[in-house]
Amino acid sequence: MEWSNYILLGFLGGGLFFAVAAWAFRWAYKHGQLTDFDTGAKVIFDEEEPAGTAKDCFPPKRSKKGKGA
Amino acid sequence: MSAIGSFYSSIKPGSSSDVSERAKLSEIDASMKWPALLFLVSAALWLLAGTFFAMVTAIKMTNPAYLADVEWLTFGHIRSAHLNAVIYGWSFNAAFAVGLWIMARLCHSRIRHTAILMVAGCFWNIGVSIGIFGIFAGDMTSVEWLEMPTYITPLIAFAFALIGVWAVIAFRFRQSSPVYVSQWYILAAIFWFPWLYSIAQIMILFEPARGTVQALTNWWYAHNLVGLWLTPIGLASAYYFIPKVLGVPIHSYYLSFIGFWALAFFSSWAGASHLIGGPVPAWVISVGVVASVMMILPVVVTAMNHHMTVRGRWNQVWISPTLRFVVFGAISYTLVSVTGAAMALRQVSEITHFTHFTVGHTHQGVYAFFTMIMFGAVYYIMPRLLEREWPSAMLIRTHFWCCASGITLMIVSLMVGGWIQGTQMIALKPVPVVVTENAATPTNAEQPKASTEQVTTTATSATHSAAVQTAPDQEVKLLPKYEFIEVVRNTIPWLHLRSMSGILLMVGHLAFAINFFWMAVKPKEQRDREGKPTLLVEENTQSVSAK
Repeated sequence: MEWSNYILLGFLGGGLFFAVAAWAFRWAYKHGQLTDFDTGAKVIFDEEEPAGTAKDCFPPKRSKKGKGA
Repeated sequence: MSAIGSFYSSIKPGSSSDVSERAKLSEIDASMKWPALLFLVSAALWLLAGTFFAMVTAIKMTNPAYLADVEWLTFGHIRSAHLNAVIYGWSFNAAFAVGLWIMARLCHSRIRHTAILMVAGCFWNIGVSIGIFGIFAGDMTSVEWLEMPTYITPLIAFAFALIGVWAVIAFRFRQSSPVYVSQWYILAAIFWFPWLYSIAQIMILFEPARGTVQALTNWWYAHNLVGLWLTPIGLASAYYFIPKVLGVPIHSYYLSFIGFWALAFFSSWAGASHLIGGPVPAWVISVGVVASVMMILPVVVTAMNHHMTVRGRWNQVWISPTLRFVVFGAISYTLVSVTGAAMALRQVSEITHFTHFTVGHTHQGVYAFFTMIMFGAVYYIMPRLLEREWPSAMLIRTHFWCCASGITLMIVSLMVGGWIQGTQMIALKPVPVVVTENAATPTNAEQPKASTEQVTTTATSATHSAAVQTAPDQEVKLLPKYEFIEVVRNTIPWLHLRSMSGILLMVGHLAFAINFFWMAVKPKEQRDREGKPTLLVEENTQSVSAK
């Protein structure tokens, strides 16, 4: 492939990349993703796994009969 | 058109009248069970294979005769097989499982038509298997990080397209309004990898560019495979699991956004810094150096955010298998990024380039950061997929301590050994040479002793001529202080240490694999006797102070 085609490909790819990035940034701004940070930070919690509770620990030691301690 | 319409409605959550649109977490976990298990089982198997290849490679570094008469297992073959097995086998499969699971949970939507994801998983792993076989058989390319033969490219591309589309569908039909930062990272990574892979395949393998452009594209791809694929998935996991397990929101959601956009802007430029000193336009290198140093910004922001979230809750980190690994990985992200920024400086790169230091840096990023976070994620996800407990706490502890100490020993030995290697490779000494009409020859019989202080890489012979006594027909030249074989020999003790660290990692991986497959095939009766898994929130809810 000729150099000119690579330059064209590079500009097209790079331009597309930055256009998508700019569009994503604009979308985030218009949909309030960059303003309401408190709600965004708490979205990982819900009624099933609420905030304020730790959710992981080592399993208990196994008894010889195979039952959990 | 009606077929498209019915397919569209079939992938939309809540399209059935008997289910609510916003799915419960347990329903989402159930919908992701088989695809996630396929990816995780594949990842675990590739991890074992990659570890075996790595051990053989490490032994060959200190004992070149080891398996040297088996043509399939020569150093060039098995080293590339190791790299591709751990990157495209272990890392990608783990990233698919963890990324899709987090995305589905944060979107609060069930994953529909999981059979297509299963097909994608099969295609991916068949592709990688053929690729690794091709490397052993001698079909490998000479392009680092893209060694698998080009005939597997369609399989890989097709599989990734299906997986990527499924992540986008989950996001499109999400049932939660605010988009969490982990979703940003995963979605971006899903778009970034096809861009990287297709450009690299076209410009290096299918329509090769001329000259050094291939090398530039190669390093742009290799650097960004870590920076724009593994890093976003790793950070998405850290941003999900740290606050989730602790039960507190991330310290600053604002900072997490700055970190994301800074990574998106600077990371893709940084690869060129790997070619410092190469026959590449200086401005291209300079752009790479500037971008690498600017990467400090997202790193500091992310490190501050994680540290402030964990601060005061270290006990909670210690009792959680997930957080032990994830926090180790998050700390390693800071270290690897700062090391990477330093290595991009010309004065540092002059020493570290072409040495084991770079290998240590790569392991710091791919293993100490990404892999450790993936281990933590697996410890959280598996009990929720299978609704059962990890069989052995002892094996989890063995896994953590072996891997944490093993990778630390590996990084230290490769970086210290690499630094010594680099300084010795560029060390010069002034030597008087006899000047003749055609050539200057060293006078080996009468080499004067020169102090180390007199030897610098930038010094000219004129600088030293005053310090070295020369005959009238002699002048001082700067020649290598160490012979190449001497430098190689000096690295051997460090390579032995690296092999020892590999043994630790192998033990850790075996402990992980035993626990993983034991859990997967545990008899149902035994599970029922043990009751509900303690890792699940219903069984183990410990109050923590939410700031």
